[in-house]
Amino acid sequence: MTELVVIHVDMDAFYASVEQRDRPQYRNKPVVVGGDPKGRGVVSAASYEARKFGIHSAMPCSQAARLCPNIVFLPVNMEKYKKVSRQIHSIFREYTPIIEPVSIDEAFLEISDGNPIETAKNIKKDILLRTGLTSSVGVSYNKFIAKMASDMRKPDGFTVITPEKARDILPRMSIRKVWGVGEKTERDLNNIGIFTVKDLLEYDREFLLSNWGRRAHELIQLCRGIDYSPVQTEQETKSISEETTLESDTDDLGVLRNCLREFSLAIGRRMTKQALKCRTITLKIRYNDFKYITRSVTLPNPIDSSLLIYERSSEILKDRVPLLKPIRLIGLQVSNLVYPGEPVQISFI
Amino acid sequence: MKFTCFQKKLSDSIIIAQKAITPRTTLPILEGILMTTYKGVLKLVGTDLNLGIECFLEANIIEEGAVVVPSRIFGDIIRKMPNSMIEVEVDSNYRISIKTENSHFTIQGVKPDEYPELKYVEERDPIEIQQNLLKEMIQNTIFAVATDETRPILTGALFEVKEDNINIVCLDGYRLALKRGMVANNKNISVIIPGKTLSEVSRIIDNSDDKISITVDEKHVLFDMGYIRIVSRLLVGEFLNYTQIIPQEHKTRIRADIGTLYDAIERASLLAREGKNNLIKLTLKEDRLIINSNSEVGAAHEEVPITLEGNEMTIAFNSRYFMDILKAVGDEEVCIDFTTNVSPCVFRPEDGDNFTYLLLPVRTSV
Repeated sequence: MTELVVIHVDMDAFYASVEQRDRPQYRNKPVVVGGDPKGRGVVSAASYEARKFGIHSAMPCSQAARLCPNIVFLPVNMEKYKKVSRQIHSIFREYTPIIEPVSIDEAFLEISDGNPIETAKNIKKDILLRTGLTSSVGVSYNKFIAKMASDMRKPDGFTVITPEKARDILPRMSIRKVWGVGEKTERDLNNIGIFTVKDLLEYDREFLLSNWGRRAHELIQLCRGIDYSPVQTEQETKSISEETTLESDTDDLGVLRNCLREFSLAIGRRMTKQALKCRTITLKIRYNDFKYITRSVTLPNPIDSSLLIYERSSEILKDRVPLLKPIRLIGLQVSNLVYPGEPVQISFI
Repeated sequence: MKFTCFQKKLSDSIIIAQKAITPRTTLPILEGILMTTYKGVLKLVGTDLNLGIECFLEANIIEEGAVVVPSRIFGDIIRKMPNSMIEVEVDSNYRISIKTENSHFTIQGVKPDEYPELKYVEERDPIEIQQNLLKEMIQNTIFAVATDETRPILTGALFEVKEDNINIVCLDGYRLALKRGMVANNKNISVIIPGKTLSEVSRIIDNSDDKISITVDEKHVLFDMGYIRIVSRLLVGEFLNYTQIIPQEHKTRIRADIGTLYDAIERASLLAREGKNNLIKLTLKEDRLIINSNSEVGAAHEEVPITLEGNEMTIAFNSRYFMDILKAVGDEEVCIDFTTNVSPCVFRPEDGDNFTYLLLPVRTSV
C-alpha cells in the first residue's frame, strides 16, 4: 500500500479545549481537567498553556498544582466530551464509512477514493467550524505513519507523509516513538545501543529476532515504515462497564451500593440504546492494598433491566465480596451480550 | 503419633480425601487433611463443610495421635514416593516426618483441635445399590446440572426412590436428564443432592457390582462403602416438578444411528460459534437430517440418514447440549421427538423408560 489513504485525527488537548471553548475566561490560560487537586485525582487533560509547566495527563493533580500555582482545575464532564466526540464522528461519516475509533478523541479513517489530502483538510476544517475545536491531522499510507504524522506538528497541525518522506524522517526518529515501544522496551533497546530507528535497522537482525522473536519482526517492519494493519471499523461491543475510584476508601455497604445503583442505571441506558441484553454480570473490586478481585454471575436468561442488574450486582457484593479491608475502587461490567435478532437459547425456567 | 503403611494405599486414600477439599477456602485449616490413628487403622478426612470424605486404611500404628496435614504438599510427597513402606512420625509440635528407605521429608502440620467435626450420619435403613449402576446413572445425568447459582436448588440433582425405582434428575433450564434404575427396596425418598457431591461420588465408586449403601436423613446423605464414607449436606427447597415439563405428545419422531449423528454434529460444531450458543440448524426432510452451521470461518453441511414419522421441520440447537445428550444415550436404541421449533425435543428409549432427555431449542428469528 503506497497510496496516501489513511488519515489519523487527534483532537488537541481534547477535554481541556472543550472546557476552554465553553468558558471563554479560561482561554489562553493553563487549565487542567481532572480530579480534585486536594484529593487524589489525576490530570485527565492539560491545556497547551499548562503543558508549558511540565504538566501532563496521568500526573497527580496535587503535583500539577505545585508546578503551576495559578492553574485552573476543572472537573471532568464526560457526557459533554462524549457528545462532542459523537459530533466529530458524524463529520467523519460524511467522508468515509471506514472509521476506527482509538479513543474518545482519536481515530483512524481510510479514504478509498477521491483525494485523501483534500478530504483530510476538509475534515479538519469541518471539525473547527462545527465544534470550534482544533485537531492535529496526519495523512499517510498506513496507520503507523499517519499517527506519526499527526504527532509531528501539534496543536492544530496538518502533516502529510509520503513514502519518500517517511524514508527520510523515520531513521532519525527516537525508537520510543515506534508503536509498541514503551518504557521497558526502550530501556532494553537502549541497553544494547539502540536509540533511533536507524540504530535498530542497522543492528544485527538475527540477534534481535533470536531475542525478541515475533516482536522484533514487527518492530523492524514498523521501523521500515511497513504496517499492514487495516483500519478496522467499530467492532461488536463485547462488554459494557462502569467503574470509579472512591473518594476515600470505604467498607460502607451503603456507599458501595449507591455506586452500583448509578452504574446499573448508566449501563442499562447504554444497553437500551443498542437494544442489547446481557447474561453475565461482573463486579470488580480493588481493595486499599491494591488487591484486585472480580466476582461474576451468569444468568440463564438474558436481561436488560437496570433494576435486575442492580439486584444481581448487590447480591454479589453482599454474599461474595469480603469487606475485611476497605475498598478503593468498585466497577461493574456486563458481558455475554445478546444482540437484537440474535439466536436465543430457550429456557423453561 | 507414628505409623507405617504402604505408599500406594496411603496415596490412594489421600487422593480420595482430597476430592472434598476446595482449593480456595476461607478457612485455612480446610486446606488440610485430618489424619487420626485407631487400632491398626488410619483415618483420613477432607471436607469443605458441605461435603466430607472419610477414608480408612490399614496401617501399622506405633504411637496413636492426630494431625492436620497440608493436603496438597503431603499428597504430592506421598505420591512421588516409591511403592514401599513409608514411616510417618509427628512430634509434639506437629512437625511431620516422612521417611522411606532413601528419603526423608519434614513438613509442618497443624494441631487437630480446630479441625471442624464432620457431621456424623449413622447408617440407618439404607438403600443398597450396585456401584456400577449408580456410577452410570450419575455420569449420564450430571452434565445437565445447573452450574450458575441463580437458582441454587438446580445445582443439585433430584434423587428419588419410589418402591423399586430409583431416579436421578438434573435440569438447568435448557435441558433435563432423567435416568431410572431398579433397586430392591420398598422406600419413598426424594432429596436434592448437590451436583458436586454426586460427581465426586461417581469418581470414587468402582465399576463393580459391589453394593454401596445410601442413608438419607433430614439434612444429610451418607454414601457408605465401608472403607470410604462420603457425607454431604442436602440442598433445601423445592425442585421443579419435572414431570410437567416433559411433553407427552409429539408431531415428529425420528430414529437415527446415534454414533453417526453424534459424529456429524461434532464435525458441524467445529464451525459453530462458541459465544453464540454453538448454534447448529437441523432440517428434518424425508429420510435425511441435514445439519448446518456457520461462522466467520466458513460453513458446514452434514447429512445423516434417518427414518422420519410426522412433519418435516427446521429447528436450531446448541450443539454442545445436543452432543451431551447423545453421549449419555450411548448406543441405546432411541427415538427423538419434536413438536415445534420452539418447544422441547425429547429423547426416549425405543423400549422401556430407563431414561428421558429433554432439550430446548435455540430461537433463531425474532
